[in-house]
Amino acid sequence: MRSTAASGAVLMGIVTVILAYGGWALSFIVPSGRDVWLPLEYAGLIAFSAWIAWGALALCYRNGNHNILPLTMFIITVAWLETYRLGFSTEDFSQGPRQAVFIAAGLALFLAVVVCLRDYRILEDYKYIFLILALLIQISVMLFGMRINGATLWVDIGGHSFQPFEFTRILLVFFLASYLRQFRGWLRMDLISENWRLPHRAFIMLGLGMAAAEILLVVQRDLGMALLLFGIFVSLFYAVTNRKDILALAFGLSSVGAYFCWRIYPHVQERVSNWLDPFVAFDGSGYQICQAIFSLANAGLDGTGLGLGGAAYIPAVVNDFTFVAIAEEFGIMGAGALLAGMILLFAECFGISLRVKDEFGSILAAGLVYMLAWQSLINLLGVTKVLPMTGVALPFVSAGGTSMLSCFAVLALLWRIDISDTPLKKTKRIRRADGASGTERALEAENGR
Amino acid sequence: MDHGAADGLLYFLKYPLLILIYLFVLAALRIAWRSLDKIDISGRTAHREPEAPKVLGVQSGAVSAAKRAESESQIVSAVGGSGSSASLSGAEGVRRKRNTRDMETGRLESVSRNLSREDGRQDMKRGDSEGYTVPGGEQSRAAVHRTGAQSSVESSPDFVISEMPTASEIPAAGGRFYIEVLNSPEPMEKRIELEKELVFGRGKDCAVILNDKFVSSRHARIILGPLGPILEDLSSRNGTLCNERLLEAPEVLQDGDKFALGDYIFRCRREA
Amino acid sequence: MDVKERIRRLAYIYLALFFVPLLGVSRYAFFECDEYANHRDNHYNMTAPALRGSILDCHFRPMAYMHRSARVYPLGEAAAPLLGYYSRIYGEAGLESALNKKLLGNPIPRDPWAAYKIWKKGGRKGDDIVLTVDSDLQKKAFEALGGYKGAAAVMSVRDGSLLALASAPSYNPEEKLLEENWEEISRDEEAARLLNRSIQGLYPPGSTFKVLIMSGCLEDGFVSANESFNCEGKDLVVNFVLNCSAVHGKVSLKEALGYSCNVAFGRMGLRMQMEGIRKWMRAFRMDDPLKDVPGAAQAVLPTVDTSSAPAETAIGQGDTLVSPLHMARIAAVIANKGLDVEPHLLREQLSGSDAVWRYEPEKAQRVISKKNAALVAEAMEFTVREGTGMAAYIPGVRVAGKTGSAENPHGKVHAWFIGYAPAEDPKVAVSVILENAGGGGKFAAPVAREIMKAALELPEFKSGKK
Repeated sequence: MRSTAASGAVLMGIVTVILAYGGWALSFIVPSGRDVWLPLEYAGLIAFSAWIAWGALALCYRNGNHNILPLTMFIITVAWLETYRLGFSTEDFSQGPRQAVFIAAGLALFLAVVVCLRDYRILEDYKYIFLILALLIQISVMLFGMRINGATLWVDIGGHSFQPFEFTRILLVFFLASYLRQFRGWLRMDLISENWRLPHRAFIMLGLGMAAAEILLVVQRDLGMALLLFGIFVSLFYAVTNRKDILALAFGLSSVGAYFCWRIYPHVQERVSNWLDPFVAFDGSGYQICQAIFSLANAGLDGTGLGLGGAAYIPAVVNDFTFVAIAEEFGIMGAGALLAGMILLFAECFGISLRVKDEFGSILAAGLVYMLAWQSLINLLGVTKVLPMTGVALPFVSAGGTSMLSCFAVLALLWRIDISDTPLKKTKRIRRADGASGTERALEAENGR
Repeated sequence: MDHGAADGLLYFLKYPLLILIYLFVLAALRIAWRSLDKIDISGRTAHREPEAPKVLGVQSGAVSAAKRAESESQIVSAVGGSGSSASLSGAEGVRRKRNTRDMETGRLESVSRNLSREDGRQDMKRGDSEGYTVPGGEQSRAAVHRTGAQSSVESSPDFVISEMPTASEIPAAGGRFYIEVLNSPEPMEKRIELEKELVFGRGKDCAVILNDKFVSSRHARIILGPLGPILEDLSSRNGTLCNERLLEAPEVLQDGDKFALGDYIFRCRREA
Repeated sequence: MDVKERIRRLAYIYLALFFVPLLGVSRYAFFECDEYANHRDNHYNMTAPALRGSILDCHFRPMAYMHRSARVYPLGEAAAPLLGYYSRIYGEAGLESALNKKLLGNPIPRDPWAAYKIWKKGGRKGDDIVLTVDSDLQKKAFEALGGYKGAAAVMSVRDGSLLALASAPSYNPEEKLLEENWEEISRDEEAARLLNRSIQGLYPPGSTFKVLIMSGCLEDGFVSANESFNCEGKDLVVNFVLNCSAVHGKVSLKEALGYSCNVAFGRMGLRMQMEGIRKWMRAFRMDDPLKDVPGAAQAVLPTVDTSSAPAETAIGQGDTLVSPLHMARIAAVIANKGLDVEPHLLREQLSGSDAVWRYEPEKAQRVISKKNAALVAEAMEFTVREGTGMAAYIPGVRVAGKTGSAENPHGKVHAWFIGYAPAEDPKVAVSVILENAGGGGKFAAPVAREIMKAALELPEFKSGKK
């Protein structure tokens, strides 16, 4: 799609309409005794912040991609309406407003990152630091974090629990992108050099770094993130080096690793058996996915309608299963629309990666998009039982502050990479020594002719 | 519970409607694919010839002459080199390219700012022409003066030929060798003539100045030997690749051999 | 650059993969929809059966309720013919069928606000029905029937509420066992397990009918209180010989009932004639559609009109068919000093905790005069004290009753007993039949004794409140 201010404005308009209608529809199912118009107010807050953010970007960065933010807001909005509605059923009445605040905060973070991160290329300098930082954070979480559901992934700060990995994975992508770029040539070499020496240290560093990260994740029982990291690694590695043999080796090793995980970890066995036949464990661990299946069975083509679905029966529905709730209440049509929105959003993001002239920017952008897209896919496929459930959240959809903020940060980074070809300064108007005036770019272009 | 069996019209339409939904999503997918297709990813690499016809409003004749002069200029002359016609000393070669470009816009300052900011990596401007365009040969020479061309001759004492046995200036085995630039992060000459010795590196005194963080100040050199050009790694930090293998010991290059330093990939060719 | 080319290639793959969740969703929402929508554990189906209302006894103890998606019957066999079953496959029977609409609850509202209200309340739940039956008594009555085929009906004398309606042979209404044994349960016509014999079984009343005859004759003046009869063991009635169980000699009216003298009642019947008999059957409300007892069958009035028919009918043979409930009602009339109270089975309908319906009793109707009722009552007490019903005697309690041994074309006589207790202040009226068991006094009376004993132990009678 062509990204112009007009197309962006049209998309923002659609989002606003959805917010307005959704907020109004929610007013019908607000439980008695509560403020009926509260959902609409929060919808207004979201719309307001979104327009401000989008408008600021459109004005200050004319060359940016104006479709990305509206497409993201589309996904966020549909998910938020559903989250709000689910809050009624689970008696958590602050769920919707809280999520709205997170969305607004995310938009603010988006603007902040876009403005503050002038040159993303500094990221390339700190690759080892990022890797070590990421590993350290993971280790400290493992040691000091809270244990939830058998996985030590959360850290309690000031009463809010959040998952540091949401941010450390970004650091790991930085590391991967810059490392792969630098050592691309080396990595194209044979793994074992002719004299039967050890593999080049490029391989060793990369292998150790990735293995360390993966092993930490596996030890922490966060297999969903391990899968995510693996996917990012495989994608970037293939893109940069085109080494199919190394990839085969990686797949082989991880299959072995996955098999061992399955053998060792009872909860992995649980997940796999729930994937194959969840009804066996209906009273126990399979309950969640069974309820998800029932909700889907109730969905139909056009859904049950907002408020009439039974997705609240799914335990912890808003964390990972919001898509199922949306599918139930808006039907296959709604699910299809949401997926189409995601496809368009990720297409725009991939476009950034392809358009950027700088190689590092291209690889970094690709890595970030792979991260978001693969994470979305892991969640979506797990929730529809195509793959086993992994407890990975759906970006922009799942309720939760860290997820929303980190995804907005990634988006901001992508945006920044996109417009890095035309730095802000170039759009300012200047007066040249010989009296000509205009924007820097215009002047340069002029002289170029 | 089977919504598909809802009464009335919906019952008969349920399959077509499902197909419709699938088509809708597939249409989005197609739009997405198409938008990716359309993106031009050929990029601005040194693969491309500096194309004179792209320049607007400049007489092609003058331009091509000037450009040819430049491209043919030896970036490095081994010892005391008056190179070829345009006599741009190699030390300045690459950097001058940039300066030349900025001559067009008359903005040296922005380039130096770019340089300092991006630490030597060039900010690729969108929509610019290739930057090889030179309004006229005059200006390039002016550039030489303005920036105070340093002859690589001054720095030549560094290029003492090592203990390699041969120092013959005549390329052995008939035909002249030259180095073809296959990949570089920034525009540079596509062809480097091989004289007695070529040092590749980041340092200003190198014959071939490579602006890449991963290239050491003195990274590698090629010496003409009796059997042909010999590539030697000068204890660089990140190593030199030769034909996809790490260069351990100096090696004789054949026609078509590739070697890489950092992001730069070169190929040794022999002129028939 | 080849890197970007590969990035693009991967991008195609990633984007295309987003189509797969759509397939995943449509697998469950469309292609395999029915399989999961009708799944046993699916809570959406529970909004039909699982939130199906419960059936409670008079003390609000559950007799039938939903657990997950299955119907649970705590009384099992004991109440099965009464309550029926609820099965996904076989539908409903018995009370489950008769009360189905009430138990089901509301349809799905289209308006989301109403939907939310209902959702909030815990889903669409059907109403609970409170019966007049007492679970303990039901169980004991069923157990008292032993291995016999038969039924017992227990009625509260004062207000007509049915305290127990037991029927044997029975079956296990639990869904799994129902499915397993369905062939046997539904096809076995002889056992007829699904039949609630206490209200649906129609039998010749046998000698218990004499209570009605006596009442009718007294009321119509066909017989006087101090009349006596001469029984020689048999009597010639028009063209057939009416046999008596024994040679009773001279018997008073009371003794005639007490010893169940066919001769005496044959003659009384002839005095009433078929018209009279039918009239009194109607007077005793045997043609009452019994709208408050769902599923109850109406009595079959005798249609035969031969000249000897009255005698035969008067002793409870002929083509008269009654259910145990009818006979219990007759006993209750006598117990109530001539007033007939409508038997009812349903007490309340609860929606949540609010009663949306309560049974409103109709005014009791007088069937026979107090005086005549007292005469019959005395005779019935005599029956238990010294007559054929001695087996029904409960130590310390004055029991009144009438036995019956109904001849039938299927084999041995049906054993009947009807009665009430305590005689001085009647609380419960009972009617027991054991198909083809033998003599009423021998077989049915002990069963009735057990049941009456258990009934009098019930808290509502012990504490004095009804």
